[in-house]
Amino acid sequence: MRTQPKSCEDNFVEFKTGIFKSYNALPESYDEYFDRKGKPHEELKGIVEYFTKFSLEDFLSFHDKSENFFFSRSISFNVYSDEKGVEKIIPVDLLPRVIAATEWKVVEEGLRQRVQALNLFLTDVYGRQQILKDLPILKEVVLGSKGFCAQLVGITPPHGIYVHVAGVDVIRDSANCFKVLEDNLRVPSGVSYVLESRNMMKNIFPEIFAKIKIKNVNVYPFQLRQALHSIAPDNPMMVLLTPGPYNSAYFEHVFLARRMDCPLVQNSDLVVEGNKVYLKTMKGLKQVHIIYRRTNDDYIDPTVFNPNSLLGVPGLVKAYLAGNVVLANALGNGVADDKAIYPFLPDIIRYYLAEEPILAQVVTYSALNPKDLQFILDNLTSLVIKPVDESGGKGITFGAKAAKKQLEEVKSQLKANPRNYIAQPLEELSACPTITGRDVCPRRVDLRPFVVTGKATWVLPGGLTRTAVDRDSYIVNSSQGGGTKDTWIVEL
Amino acid sequence: MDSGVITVPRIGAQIYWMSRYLERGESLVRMLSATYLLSLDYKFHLSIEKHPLLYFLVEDRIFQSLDNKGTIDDESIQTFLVFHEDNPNSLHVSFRRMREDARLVREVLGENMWQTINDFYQWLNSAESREAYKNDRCYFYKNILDYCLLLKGIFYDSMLRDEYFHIMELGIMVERANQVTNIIDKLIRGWSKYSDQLLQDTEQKLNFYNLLLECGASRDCYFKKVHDFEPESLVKFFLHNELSPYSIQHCLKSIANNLSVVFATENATLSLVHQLAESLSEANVFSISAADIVDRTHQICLKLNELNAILNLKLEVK
Repeated sequence: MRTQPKSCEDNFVEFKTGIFKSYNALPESYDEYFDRKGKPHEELKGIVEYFTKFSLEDFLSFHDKSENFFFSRSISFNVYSDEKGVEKIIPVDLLPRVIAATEWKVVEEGLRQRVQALNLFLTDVYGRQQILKDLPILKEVVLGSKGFCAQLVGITPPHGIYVHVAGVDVIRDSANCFKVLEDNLRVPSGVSYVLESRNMMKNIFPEIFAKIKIKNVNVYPFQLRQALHSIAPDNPMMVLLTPGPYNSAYFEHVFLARRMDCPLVQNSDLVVEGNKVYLKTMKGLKQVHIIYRRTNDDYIDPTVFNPNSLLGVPGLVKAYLAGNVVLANALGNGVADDKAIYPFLPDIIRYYLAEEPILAQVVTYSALNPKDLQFILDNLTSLVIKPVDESGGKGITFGAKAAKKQLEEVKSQLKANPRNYIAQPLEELSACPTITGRDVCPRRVDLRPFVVTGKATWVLPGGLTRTAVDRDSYIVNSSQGGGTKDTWIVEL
Repeated sequence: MDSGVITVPRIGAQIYWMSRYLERGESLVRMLSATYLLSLDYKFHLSIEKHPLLYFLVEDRIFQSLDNKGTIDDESIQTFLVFHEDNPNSLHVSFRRMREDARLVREVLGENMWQTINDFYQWLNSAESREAYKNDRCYFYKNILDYCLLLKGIFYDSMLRDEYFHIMELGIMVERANQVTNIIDKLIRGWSKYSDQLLQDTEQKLNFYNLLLECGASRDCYFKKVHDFEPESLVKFFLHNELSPYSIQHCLKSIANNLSVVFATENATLSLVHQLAESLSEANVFSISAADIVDRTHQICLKLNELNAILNLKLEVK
């Protein structure tokens, strides 16, 4: 049901109309749609006006359409621990997250810089290790990292690129400042949901795409394919290696394999002979030059890493070390996205690039540093304590909400194993209007942009916006019940 | 000719079984639909020898276990064949397996194909489908059959003509040959058990024949060429008929063609298929005497079983 927009002196639609009528922003957070006076941000005016033409009943019906869209294509993720169903449809909210292109440009530059520094760091850590001599505090952090692979020291992948695909988690704080929260440099996932969410939104809201200039995301698979081909021999044979259909991101593996036009293979389809990797085909063995691998380091080769792995290809690491196959992402990246390294990233950027970081990151205290450890212990109730070797939001303690007993446990763990923890002040993540049942409520969000590096670096416009499960939550991971939104980079 | 497409054996095997389950499900739904309509006119005897569904589709030991529970009736037989998870050939199990195989290879199926398989699967497991089974059985069966035909249409119309296409067609034809052979083998061996109960008059014979011909999608085809209701005629029709895509000879020719593309260098299996196809030429089939037909049909079944075993080994999902 359409409502007539009310005009104001500034010629914008007064937001308290339509579905935003009873919307109340979170007082502590930056609201992605509205300023403190309730006026839509500049990049959102046309979009808010468009959405106020629909009622909540309309949105319920759109929601059914979106669910059908995802069900029919089985756009899913697998939750290992959920007994009810292996496949779950990714929940996507119909109100997009919108970022002005001018703001995005800064984020984009910051991400390029960060990934460049990370590649240089990895080259050094697996090479001369000069940074460990110049910044001794890093030595224990790096060499003690579970992600550090001593077997790889002395080996440099083609063009010194370790991180072909990075998923960098970014938040917007209460002062409207983008900050990096976390780097994901091993097997970052989520990009397929970005592309499919966009397709779904185009299906349901085609008119807005005609009115507003939104940056395209569909070229991602092409860009990734080009990037990987650019660092391999001519006419390379590329495959996408998946752990299999029960992996949480299997849909994404299928999606990318199809769009990148490369075979989707499991470990049993590959064999290593003479330190070269071959794909078993119905016409015989075919040499593989690039493996876009979605299998973690631990499981990728049972002869080198986890001997119990049933997902690996025996001999793959030898082929990699011999330079006969490119692995994307390279092995050993875990040392660089180790949370214990994160506090040192600004110094790492300065060290390799002689530049100030363009993108800030969340203030972080490393329990390995005695001063920081004392600060953490003295200020537990106002900090968020994170174990460095967990992901998906697991193991995080919010000091302000934790019970006394839990805080005591955390204290002992910090003292017993300081290398294993970092702490950060609770950042007020920005919040975005989100349709929840029969209302529109604010939900905290973060953003995962994707950065692709071959001979050049390309950043996907936008990325995956993830939303927290409820009003009070700060955890946005899908495995913890969070949802997602389409992310629009809008040119004004 | 090298299509330039990389074909991975594991994927080939999955596609082969996906298409077999599709054909199996379609064959079953035709039988169920035709029997259901016939049952509105005739009361079938609830014994494995005399009930068409039990006779053609249910193994003796399974029937015994159903019978021992004392729950057997027309409705429970249909439910068993449509829904039962313990029945490895039930409609639900067949299509569930089809969908699962498709899910594992969806990157090589066209998007239309995958989406339609998924839409079908969602519908089959929906409340709407259960409601249709309960209150509008004809629509329930028709909708399933429509989906099967739609999937085949998408397959033939849009899939790349690479090795995967040929493997899929191979699966369809192998399964079809199996299903048809099963029907005619049982028909010719058990004919006398039917004739005294059901087929006292021409109308009954006609209806029964219609049932069997519906299973083979061949009713129109049969009556263009054959005008009698003798079991030998029906069997010979299904062994050889140049118009019908359900004749076993047609299936074998297609199997040979697809095998020559997929396993280009493998000759022994191809020879077996060619021999079988030749034995089902018009001259050979129509020269079979009434005395020999039971035996000959059974021999063909055994040869097809042998072919099945060879192909299952070649296209084993590892």
